[in-house]
Amino acid sequence: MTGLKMRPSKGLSRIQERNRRRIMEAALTEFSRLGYSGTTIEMIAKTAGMSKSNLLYYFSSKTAIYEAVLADILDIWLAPLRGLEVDNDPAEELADYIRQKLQMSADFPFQSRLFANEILQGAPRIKQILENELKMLVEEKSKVIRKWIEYGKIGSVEPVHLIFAIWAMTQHYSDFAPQIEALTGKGLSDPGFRKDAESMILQMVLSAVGLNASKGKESGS
Amino acid sequence: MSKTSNRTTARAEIERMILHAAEEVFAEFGFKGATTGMIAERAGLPKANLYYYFPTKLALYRQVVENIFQIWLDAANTFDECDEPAEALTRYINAKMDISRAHPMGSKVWANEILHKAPVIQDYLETTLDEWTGTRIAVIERWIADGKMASIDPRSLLYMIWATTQHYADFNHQIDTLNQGRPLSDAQFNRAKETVVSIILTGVGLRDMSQGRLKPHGEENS
Repeated sequence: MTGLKMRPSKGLSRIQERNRRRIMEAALTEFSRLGYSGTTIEMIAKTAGMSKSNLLYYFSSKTAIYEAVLADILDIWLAPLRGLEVDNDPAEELADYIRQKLQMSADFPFQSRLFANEILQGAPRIKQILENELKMLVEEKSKVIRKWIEYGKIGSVEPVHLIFAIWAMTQHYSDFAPQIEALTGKGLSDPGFRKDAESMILQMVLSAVGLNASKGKESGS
Repeated sequence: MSKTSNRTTARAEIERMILHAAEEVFAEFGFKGATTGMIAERAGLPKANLYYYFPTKLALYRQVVENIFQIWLDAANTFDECDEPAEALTRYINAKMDISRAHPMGSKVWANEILHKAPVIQDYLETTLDEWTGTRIAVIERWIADGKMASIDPRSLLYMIWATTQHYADFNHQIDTLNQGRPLSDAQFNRAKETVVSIILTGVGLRDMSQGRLKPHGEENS
């Protein structure tokens, strides 16, 4: 249900893999509900349907589980950004990226909120991942965007702020879902609402860099 | 200065200190995780003193939420003050960005509350925020009806502005990390503001890319 992807861990049998995943999914449920400090190992073990000592065989501490869950979230989050290639058509690449990000907001709202919560608190437990993986990727993809600008394929924009805008717009629909629901009575689970949200974001981002939003799939020039 | 006004000033100053500390603690721990003890300690006051000003944690929390909310509401007065959508929106976005920089903690308290499904301020969302949003939507609809801007969904436009501007407060740790571990400088922050304004205004057809450094690739805005 939560769709947590697993990083293949070396040397684990299939049953062990399954148990690891069960723990991480249970942890996601508990952490999203009660936050890091409100959650205990016992709660996670109970939700996962295993004994505490069995759980401790897979993860040495609550922190270790939490870090594994967040690393996984970030992995899923960043996968579509990794796909941004300089040789491809910018309109198509950006439109694809936005669609995938919104898809994730729809499919993984718990993950999105847990991640947001961690950042809100100053990212005390995932600082290292942000400093390494995230930073490298954002720098690399900023270069791709800069090249597109250089080649005259898209209008001038500060790449990193463009990326922030895409994150903010797409994640708003999961992180601020209760607010949107209070105001609109709808959310991403409503197909019509989701379609409208998607076209709005596509239009915003694509036209902001001089690409034609209505022709999302066609060449920008 | 009279004795009374001195006392009033001191009172206001203590209240300000408490609210400031509360903002930080609530932003970090949320409503549930925060205690009045933590807030009193951060404010450098005895707990009994804090209760004198705010009888409960809930009262204090609601005050913090109302404060940031009021600051945000005031920023959107530009809708009434000027009738050119491009200018009104530019001023609104700039004001929202400045708030994100000046009051990141308030913004985070709000975000934290929403992330946890708004247990404390649900009524606020359904009444005050909803009514206010309605008045802003009405202004945008009037702009569209008067032919001053293209037909777009006003509600989504507001969501996009809130999302992009508040991102600079709520996600500032991530942004700093990506900026060599430093907060954005004044110049960098101005670039951020320009970019957000440009994305939103171009996105709703109020600004043409040809006003930027490059020629537009598509046709004129439809």
